[in-house]
Amino acid sequence: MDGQQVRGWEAQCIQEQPPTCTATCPVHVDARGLADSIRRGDFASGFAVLARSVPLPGIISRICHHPCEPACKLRDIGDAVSIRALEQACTDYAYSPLAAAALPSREKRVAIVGGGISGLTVAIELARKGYAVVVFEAKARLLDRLLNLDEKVLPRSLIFADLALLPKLSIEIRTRTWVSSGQCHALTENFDAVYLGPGPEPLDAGMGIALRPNGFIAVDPLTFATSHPKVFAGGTHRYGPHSFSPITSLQDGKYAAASIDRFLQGASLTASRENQGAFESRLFVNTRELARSRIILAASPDGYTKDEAVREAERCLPCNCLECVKVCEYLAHYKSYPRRYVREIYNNDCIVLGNHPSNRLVNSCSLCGLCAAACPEDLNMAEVCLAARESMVSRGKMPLSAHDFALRDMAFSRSKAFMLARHQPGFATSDAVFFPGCQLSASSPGHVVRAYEYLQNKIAGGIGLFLGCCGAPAHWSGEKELFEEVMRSLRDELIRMESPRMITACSSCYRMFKDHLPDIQVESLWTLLDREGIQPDRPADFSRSLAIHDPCTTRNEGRIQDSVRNLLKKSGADVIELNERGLTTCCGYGGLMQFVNPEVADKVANRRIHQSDADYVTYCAMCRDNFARRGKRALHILDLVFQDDGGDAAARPDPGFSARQENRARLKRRLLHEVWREPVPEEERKFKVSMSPDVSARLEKRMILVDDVRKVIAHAEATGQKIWNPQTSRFVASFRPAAVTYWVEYTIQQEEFVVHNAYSHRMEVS
Amino acid sequence: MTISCPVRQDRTAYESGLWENRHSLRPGGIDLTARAIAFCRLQPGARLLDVGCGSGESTECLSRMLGFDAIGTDLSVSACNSARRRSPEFAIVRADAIHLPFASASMDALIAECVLSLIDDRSAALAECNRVLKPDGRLAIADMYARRPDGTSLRSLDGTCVSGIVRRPELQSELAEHGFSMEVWEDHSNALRELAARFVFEQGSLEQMWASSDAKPNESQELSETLKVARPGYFLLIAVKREGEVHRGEQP
Amino acid sequence: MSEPKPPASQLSCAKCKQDLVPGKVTVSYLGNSFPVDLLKCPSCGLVFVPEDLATGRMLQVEQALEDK
Repeated sequence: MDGQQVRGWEAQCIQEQPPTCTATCPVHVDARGLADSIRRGDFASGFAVLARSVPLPGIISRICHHPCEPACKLRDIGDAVSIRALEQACTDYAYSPLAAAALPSREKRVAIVGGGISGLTVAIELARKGYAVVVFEAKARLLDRLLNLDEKVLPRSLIFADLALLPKLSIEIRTRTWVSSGQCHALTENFDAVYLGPGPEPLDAGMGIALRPNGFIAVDPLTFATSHPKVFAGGTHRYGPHSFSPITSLQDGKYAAASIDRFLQGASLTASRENQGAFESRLFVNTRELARSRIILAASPDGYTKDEAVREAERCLPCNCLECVKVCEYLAHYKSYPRRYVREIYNNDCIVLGNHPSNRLVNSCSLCGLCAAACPEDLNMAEVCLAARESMVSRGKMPLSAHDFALRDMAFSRSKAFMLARHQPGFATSDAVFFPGCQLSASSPGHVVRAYEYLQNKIAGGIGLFLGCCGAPAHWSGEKELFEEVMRSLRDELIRMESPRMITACSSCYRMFKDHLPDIQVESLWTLLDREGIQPDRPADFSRSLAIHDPCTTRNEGRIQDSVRNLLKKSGADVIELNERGLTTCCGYGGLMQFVNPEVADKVANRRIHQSDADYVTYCAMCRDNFARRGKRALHILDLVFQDDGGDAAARPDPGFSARQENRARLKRRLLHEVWREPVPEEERKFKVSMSPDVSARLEKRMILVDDVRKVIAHAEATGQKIWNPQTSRFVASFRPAAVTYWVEYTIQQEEFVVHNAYSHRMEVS
Repeated sequence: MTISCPVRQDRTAYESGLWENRHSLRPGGIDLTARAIAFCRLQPGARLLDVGCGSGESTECLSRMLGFDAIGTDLSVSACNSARRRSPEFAIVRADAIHLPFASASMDALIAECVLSLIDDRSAALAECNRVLKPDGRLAIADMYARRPDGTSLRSLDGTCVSGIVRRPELQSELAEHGFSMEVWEDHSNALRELAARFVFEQGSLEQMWASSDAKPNESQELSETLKVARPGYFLLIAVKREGEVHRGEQP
Repeated sequence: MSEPKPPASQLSCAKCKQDLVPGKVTVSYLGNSFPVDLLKCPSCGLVFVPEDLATGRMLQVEQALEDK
């Protein structure tokens, strides 16, 4: 896999982008995490969340002007979460003295002028990194402005609690010490760096430090540097006398401290500071279908009770994207999200020696593209998984048994038993070629016959017939070479037939040809039927509610989807939509999901089935059979267009894998006989094999064909190599036609063999 | 200035030098000291007396940050010497709490952390506290207390720092007697647990924390048992010197 | 893989009319081989692989070897 492409995919997934509260907060407090802690009643860990980003948590929890709240996504549907009040609840109920971890002390000393919020923040941040810090404050006490505030707004005990950290960090405090401009110069000589947080008064610090026209020090907005390399500045001094924003002062302190740290280590002041301060988050949050949400008000002016705080915290959504996970059972099944999956899949791909734990993840995707349709950034997991599969195959790392059964089925469809390419009888050329596909032929061979009849009448210039497989299983399993060979041989056949135009009855075939045979014109049978007109064999007063399921391979094929709906309306159906256009789901067959991961395929199909109680109608034979197998009444559109028999088509069961192959072979024979009037050799007479529906279902689940069972019994009876089990009174025998050994338990009853059980393994026994 | 007066020949953990650990021997450390001082409602320039100040480091730091004038007093010679070594600027006086060498009504606030329970004549100490405080001045006391209400006498465990352990109702009435009204009472027993845990972690056992140096071996054992019954907790209380009240037996 | 216990009532080879007895057998997959005790016909060597082994341990080992 291509590392750069992988990084591009990772960047497309925005799930890890911060919520707007965090992105808008000047110091990126994890308000979502804080709300989550409170929701669980854990105020202590909520406090820890706050303290992680804010060195003066008590103060900020009371007097922050909360720029996060106007940005809160809940405002789409009501009131913002009261983030500041929740922070206050944490400091009210779970204030925990801030620890001072002992760091190896660095030799450098930093002077801080001004004992306000920004200066103290610089002091704490640098002391935590091991620098020796001295704070000079002109007044008798630090945080003088705050200590004058109303006790109810900002209790002294909270200010003192925050300040108690300073002695623990060995920060030296010199109050009642005014630093004049001359003394500033001395500081730059005696200290390795200086921070000026002198407050909202003009200040000439001397030393030629550049000033703005209004007399305030000029400060770089990114690095907080002044024109003197050792001197940095920030805080209310930057904003003038009439604005006082504690959180902005705190932010200035944090980022100025970061600059000083870089400066003292000789590192770049500007590198990697893109998301410093407030920024726009790329996170997408869907609030569309949510109910209105009103703020919980505190009964007392002193702030939330614990209960009130919990109820307010429960209002937090929390903000997440997860749009794709919400619609896809496969993505939900592995309990994570695409950015992580992409990284995991890439890491898996990079492993040279040892286990590959994520092969199943790679192979379980249906490649249907629903995630891309839902994703605000159009990330398509199909691209990722297909690239991974192709990489695995090319390096010989694809587990053999993953796609083996499906590829053998494809091989059958490409074999003489099914393959057929003929011009219409009486024509030496074909204007177009009908390619019904292997699944429709397997499931409703009668419809193929009727469709070909119809086309012969409608297409002047001859319509040929091409029975075969479009190669979808090879493409989906990452077998690039095999798939290219399939495409080559299809194209060769079309060239031989001198026909550039194909009509498909299956949307997967349509997809394969459209994407991989661009020089061949492809049309779907449905647009053709809609255009040429067909009188469905339905009585005029027939009317029925049907929910339409678009096969996932027609996801963006609006014209085909429209044509199908027109046909349905003409046949009297009242069409129910299951989703917005473009958001159809897979039935479980896509990407060979059901062969690799039946559990996830069941989840996907069952979710689709339960979307509506109405009967379903679709235009892919595999979709129809997948629904039918799980008990859902489902029609194929040709059931409405051609009424084969008077029976209840919606109740027709899934034929199963064994019958599929038999039906294909029979279809070829029938067409050769009925349409081209060719003699067909007698169908090989096979001895009778019977089994109960339970046994039949078990074989289906274990992907064992009746034909394979036959081979075992034939071998056992011919060679006599079988085992007798007196307990069950059954014979047990085995045979290994190719890469799989099949075991069958059977009894002989008069003219037929009754199969009681079958199982298989790939290991060889000698 | 030193005052001689009968001094208990204690050599408790308090004397052993463990208080040299910065900010840390007292339960709750500097954080509890900060909280206590916050309740005292002091303005810049206020005079704060720390009774039994040990090295005085916490009080001094906090006072410098917040603009108060801090003075410390301690009975222990080594405490006073260490304080002077640490900070020559810090005003410290060796004295006994029952005879405070300060003028009446000269202090805006008093703080007594982990010291009341060590004083034999608690009544005299409280009287002194009241005397030196200005009217409306606050007294902050942080100390151990016995949480079990029914009487378990600990007087027998003389010579240990638990011997003077009080009970809340008794203390409240003593304060009232000496012209104080209690404004705040907070339980901070978790601070005691944390300190005990740290002791065990650093010293291996709790015994040294409670015991006197010349204790008999099973005295610690007996002490532990008694303590389990008494269930010591830790409290912070703030008391206000009531305006106009005259201390019993003393001229203003 | 541990040996399966022989059933109470013996399986027998239909061709040789002899009861199957436990014997050493080699199972292999993707170039890896393991010795296993399975029931065999003492005469012609026909081996019996029980269902629970095939769908249980064997499948696990196959998948592990394939890295599935």
